[in-house]
Amino acid sequence: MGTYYQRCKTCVMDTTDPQIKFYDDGTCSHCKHALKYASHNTQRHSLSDILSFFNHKRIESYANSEYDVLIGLSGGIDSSWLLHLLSKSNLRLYVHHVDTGWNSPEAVTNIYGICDKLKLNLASHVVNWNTMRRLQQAFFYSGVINQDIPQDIAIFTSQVQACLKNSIRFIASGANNTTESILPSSWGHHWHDQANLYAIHKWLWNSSPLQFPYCRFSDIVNYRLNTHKDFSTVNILDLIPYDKKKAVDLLVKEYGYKCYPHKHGESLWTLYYQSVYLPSVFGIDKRKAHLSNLVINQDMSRDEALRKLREPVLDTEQLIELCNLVAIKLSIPLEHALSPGEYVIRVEHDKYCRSKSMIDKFTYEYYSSKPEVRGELATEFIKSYESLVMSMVVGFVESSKVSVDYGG
Amino acid sequence: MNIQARIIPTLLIKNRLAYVSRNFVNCEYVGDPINIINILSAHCADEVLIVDKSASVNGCIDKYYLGLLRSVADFPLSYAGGVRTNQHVDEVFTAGFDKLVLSACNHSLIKLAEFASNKYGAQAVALSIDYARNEELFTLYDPYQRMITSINLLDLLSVLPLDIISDIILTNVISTGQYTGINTDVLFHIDSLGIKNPILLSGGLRSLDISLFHSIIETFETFSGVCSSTGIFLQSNRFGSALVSLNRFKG
Repeated sequence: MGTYYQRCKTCVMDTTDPQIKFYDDGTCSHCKHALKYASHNTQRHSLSDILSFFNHKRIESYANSEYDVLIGLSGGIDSSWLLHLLSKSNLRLYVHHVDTGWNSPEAVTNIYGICDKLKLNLASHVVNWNTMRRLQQAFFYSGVINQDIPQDIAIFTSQVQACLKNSIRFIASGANNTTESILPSSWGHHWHDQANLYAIHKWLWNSSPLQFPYCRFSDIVNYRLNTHKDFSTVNILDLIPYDKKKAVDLLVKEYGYKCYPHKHGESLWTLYYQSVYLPSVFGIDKRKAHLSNLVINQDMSRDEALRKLREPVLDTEQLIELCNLVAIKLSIPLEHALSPGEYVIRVEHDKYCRSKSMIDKFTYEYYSSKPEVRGELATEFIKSYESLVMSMVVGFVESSKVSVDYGG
Repeated sequence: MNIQARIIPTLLIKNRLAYVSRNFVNCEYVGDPINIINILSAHCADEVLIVDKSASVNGCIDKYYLGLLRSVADFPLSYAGGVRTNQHVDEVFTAGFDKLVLSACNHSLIKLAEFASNKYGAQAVALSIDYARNEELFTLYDPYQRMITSINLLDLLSVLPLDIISDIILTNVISTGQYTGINTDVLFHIDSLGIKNPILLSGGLRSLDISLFHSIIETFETFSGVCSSTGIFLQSNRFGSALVSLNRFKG
């Protein structure tokens, strides 16, 4: 039986996303969604409006807090640009970086380059590498689609911990729809699926990860839904005009910013996952989503995007170098790292515990229900999900609860 | 004379994790050694010293892991930690390391130094001496016993066979990790002994002030550079950025 194939006429998304829908004019559901958020189609505020909003809110900041805003700095363009913008204000910034052991050399240059130039202190949380390695080994061989869950949970949990510890009212996030609005849900899974993380670790090691950043799931859910009583997240780059090209030019000029040759080049693991693991195990080329965003935002022509897609993600030398590093760091054979598709069987996240369907169901119900009943829905969900997490935990989880150890 | 001072970042490893120590006691976790070496490689480090603390505890060299570190590094690597026998010496060099650093408190120091020097050349052996300063006296610190001994540093240097080793690494244990600045006083005393081996100072490094190093080189011919775990972070002045995450956050 032949497989039906179609590519969108406006962007470069195609039927490798099984949930894509095409309209009569040949455009796809992703375009339609993304066009709503495209920078030229949305009402944007000026930066000074945003800053005055923060300044106004400042009086509401906790009396004992030394900081107004936490900003997560990964060394990527979005977060670096955000830090540049906020540094022009008189807000007291808490610059937070989580080192999951995969920082690329460029990322380190950028993080310290910017902080040094702006004379800002950097709170750096280094995740225990042995724990991270064991988790990532488990994820690698588990064959699930979202291999970034350990990194994402570490980063966001650490942010939540830092916010609570320092009584910070706001998290300024570099996440934005301009460059990231197209991302098919079938290509990934919720980053905050704590139960899945424990389940996959248990599957390989029959234990729970120790010394891994931990916080209550209710904190993560409320962070995700932006309903946390202690802090809220503001995606500033969605509120103001954001021209990525101009941002890069200025960062290079002012801070000696080193551009990444690839999207997500700040983390070598994410680079490996998107350019080797996903294509090899799932036949997914995430560049389609990234390039489609650029096309929709009129930053790149469709022909140019198609031409880029025909090129390999990494050249042979880069590929071997990256796979070699991954093999060494994860203590796995090089051939496994080079072609994971031959050694790993793709499976659904639900194989390890049924947390994915649970979160999917909740997300659907939450967003399709009236705002007044959402709180109740969330409370109910958190309760049942937390009991699922506990059933996946081997041993005593509270012992793995670590405070943010600014290990430097 | 135009000699460049060597800046040798030191990576302290325990159970395959990297740490930075303060006064030899408090260790701060800084991340995955492989990733740090990878970053240092990309930033063209001249040379790196790996100190494996677990090797002395376990009584064996983690040769597999040393091989992994070697495969990521594209600069000369020196090794220190847990070397007790000739077999250990061979394991370090077989793993691809370029230099072996032996502690002055190692009971088999002379035997091991002779073996390594004969087999791999004197340039491949370095001597590490930890000392503490007590007014005008420099006395040896024993890292195994964790105590300051009454052995005078200068007396020790005058009896050691320095012709079979190359570098001498002098570590001031009091100022390790304290950012108080390197102490050059010891060089005055070393100079009086007529020692010709290149001297590397360690402990208390505060900044990579190249002009300061040059002025030291002009005064003391034997001064060759600095060797410091703080050096990993302080590469900033050279490369425009620090190299690994460091807690520079107050409190």
